[in-house]
Amino acid sequence: MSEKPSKEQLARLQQARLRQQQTQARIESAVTESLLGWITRFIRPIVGGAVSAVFGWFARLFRGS
Amino acid sequence: MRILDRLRGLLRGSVPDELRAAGLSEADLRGLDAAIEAEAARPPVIVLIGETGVGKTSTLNALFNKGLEISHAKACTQIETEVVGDRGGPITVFDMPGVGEDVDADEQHIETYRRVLPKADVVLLILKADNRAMTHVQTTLRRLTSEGMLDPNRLVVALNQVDLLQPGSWDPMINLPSPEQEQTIDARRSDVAEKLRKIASFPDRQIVAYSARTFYNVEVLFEAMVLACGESRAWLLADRASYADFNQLVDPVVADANVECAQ
Repeated sequence: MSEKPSKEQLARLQQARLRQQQTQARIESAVTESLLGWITRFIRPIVGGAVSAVFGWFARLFRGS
Repeated sequence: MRILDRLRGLLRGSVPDELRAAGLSEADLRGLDAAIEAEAARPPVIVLIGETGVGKTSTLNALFNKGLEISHAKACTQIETEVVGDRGGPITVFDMPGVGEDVDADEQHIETYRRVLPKADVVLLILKADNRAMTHVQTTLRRLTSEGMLDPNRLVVALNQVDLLQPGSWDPMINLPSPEQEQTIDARRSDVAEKLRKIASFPDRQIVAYSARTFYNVEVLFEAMVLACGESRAWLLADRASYADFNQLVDPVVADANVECAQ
């Protein structure tokens, strides 16, 4: 039977998981910004001054809000 | 990270009112869809530089394949391989030798670098974390950057096998370094960073200590790659990635962190 983890081990595991979640959130954000930037470059010549409205629409789509 | 799938679904449907009001037509959405597919048809290019035994294959597996043998990949040339990750999209990988073993061989390798590095979205320089002989690495990096072969912004210095660093030891129960080993890892990373910054200027986040074997900090390595990739291609790299999670190797008895502890 496996031994039980110590409080210190559990605390370190929880800290590591928190850091991992924070990293994953930063990756998601960087990827979203990358795709938004790419789309913006494509649509700017088409929509001209309305580019910010289109950007906002895609941003809400990607950010799930 | 499946925003690309959501986007494709949208672009192949009717135009939402808000986008139509901004001046986008269905033809524009189809055009955007086609442009994205054209970009996606150019696989992300990853160049791996490192001596035999530093863990290039295991690193690739930890980032993209989640356990597939690299021998399943399609070899295009001796150094170029097309890898299909478990998300299905291809990634082009150039497996480059390290330098420093032989003067004549080094010159041949440099010529290969000159041909391949400009194609790279990301260059991973993989070193064993316990390697203290940094002179060859410094010399190579100086030459690659000074002769314009390598853009330092595309470079990620990947210090693999930190689970083997001493003093300290790996804690297999939680699949993490012991506190003492964590200090060793931090010190080793700082030492490498200091030595390489004498040669080229690049962001601190582009030097990552990780373990492909235990999946420790693989997500940190991937973040560094995304940032090094540049805004125009980061989304494509992320679409192909499926990096491993250190939690997979945590002892099942503590996999649920709410487990009763010993004291």
